[in-house]
Amino acid sequence: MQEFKDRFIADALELLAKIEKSLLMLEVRPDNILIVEEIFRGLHSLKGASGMYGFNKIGKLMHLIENVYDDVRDGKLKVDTEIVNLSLDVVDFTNNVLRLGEDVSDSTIAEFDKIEGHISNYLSQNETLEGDDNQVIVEDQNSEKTYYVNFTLDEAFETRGIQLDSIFKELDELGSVISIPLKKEGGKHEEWEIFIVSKSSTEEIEDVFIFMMDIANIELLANENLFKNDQFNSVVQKNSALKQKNILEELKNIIQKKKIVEEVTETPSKVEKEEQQLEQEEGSKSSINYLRVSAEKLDEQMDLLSELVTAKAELRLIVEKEGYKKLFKLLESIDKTTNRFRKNILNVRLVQIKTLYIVFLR
Amino acid sequence: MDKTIVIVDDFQTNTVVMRHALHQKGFEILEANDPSEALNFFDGRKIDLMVTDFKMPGMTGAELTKQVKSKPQYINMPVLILSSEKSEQCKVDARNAGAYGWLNKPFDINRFLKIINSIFK
Repeated sequence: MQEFKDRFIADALELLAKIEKSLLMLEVRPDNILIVEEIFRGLHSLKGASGMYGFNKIGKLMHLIENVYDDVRDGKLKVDTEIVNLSLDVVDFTNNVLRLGEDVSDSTIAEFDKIEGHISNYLSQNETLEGDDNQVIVEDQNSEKTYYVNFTLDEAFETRGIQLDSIFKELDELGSVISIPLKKEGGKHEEWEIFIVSKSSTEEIEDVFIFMMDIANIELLANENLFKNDQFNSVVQKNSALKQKNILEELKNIIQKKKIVEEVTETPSKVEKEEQQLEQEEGSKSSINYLRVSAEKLDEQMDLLSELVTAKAELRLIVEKEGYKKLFKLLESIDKTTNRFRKNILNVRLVQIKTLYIVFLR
Repeated sequence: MDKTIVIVDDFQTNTVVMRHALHQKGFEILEANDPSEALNFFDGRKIDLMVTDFKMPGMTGAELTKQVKSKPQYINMPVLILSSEKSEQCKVDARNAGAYGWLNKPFDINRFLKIINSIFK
């Protein structure tokens, strides 16, 4: 491998020299799109290859600066001195790293951070940064996960050059698989639903369907084996027996309901325990006042709380799905307040009979 | 393993490392750094897979695929594109040409080998 790495370094240094030359020409002729294309192609090649040889920082900087040139090509940005200077910084950094043969020294990391910051600032000033990838569920690498896959074989399936059998064999090696050939109606094509319970990552599952990514819908449903959930299991088994397509929304509702039940009944976290302790200490210092409240009103409070928890869970789904980073903090605060509210209302609702007697006596 | 793979990438160091890794796994490799040069391999001989870069001088990976798949004996041959292109249009072009596999660069060589092995299971 070292032999290939050395060869890559030699080729990359040669390519960098060409890019540098083109950059100097671009400085004089900033409107020349041919020079922009030449630079873009060079950066693109280096970005693709550097990761293969472990130069991840080079790959990352190339990716960022390539975004700048992408916007120039699309007419969103005009070449200016800053773009040329940033590009030359990337070229210098890459030259140094390649000559050192590694990108992990402290000075290299500091230089990388500096250039990355400059390019990111430039891009954000021009509002061209890419959005975060939407992901409904954050993958837990270590846990067992349940995936859902649905696809319809198109007429040209054979020209993809893959066999369905080999896909199933491969999935079997990754974990437990439930595959459901759905009932064909009319002239419809063959449609399949597959549930996979596996510790494999989403990327590994997607790799199995790499020649079908345009027709396959792959979703991570949960970071757990959902077939241990009786309601989920019975719905899937029933539909499977009838060769009937599962309604994904229905399955997601079952998962969500279970999550809410767990949330409401979960044991207090360390923070909550501390809060409880603090409240108990404060409570013991102050005088205690009691109020009589009808059980009906308390029940209404319980209902409202449950609606609030559901709404909060939906909000969390939206925030995670859309990647609204700015709302994460606010969501944490709502989480905390909801938890305290839940704890308080449960304390109120589960008031001891003995205490009530005392109140009545008074 | 009696399988022949054509690999095409204008950046020679990429084809060299892929050739080496695939050859070690027992695959027969035909390597080209120019898409028009790669077309010469498709002369009727048995080829089981084409792995190609997308952005290359003279011809894109999609255009190359289209030309290769216009020959009836290669119409069902799988084509895997390796690219760092982000544009969705490039993927659509590739699929329309008959290249359904797309692996984003940079990638880990072991992941690449795993994918190639799974194709021939």
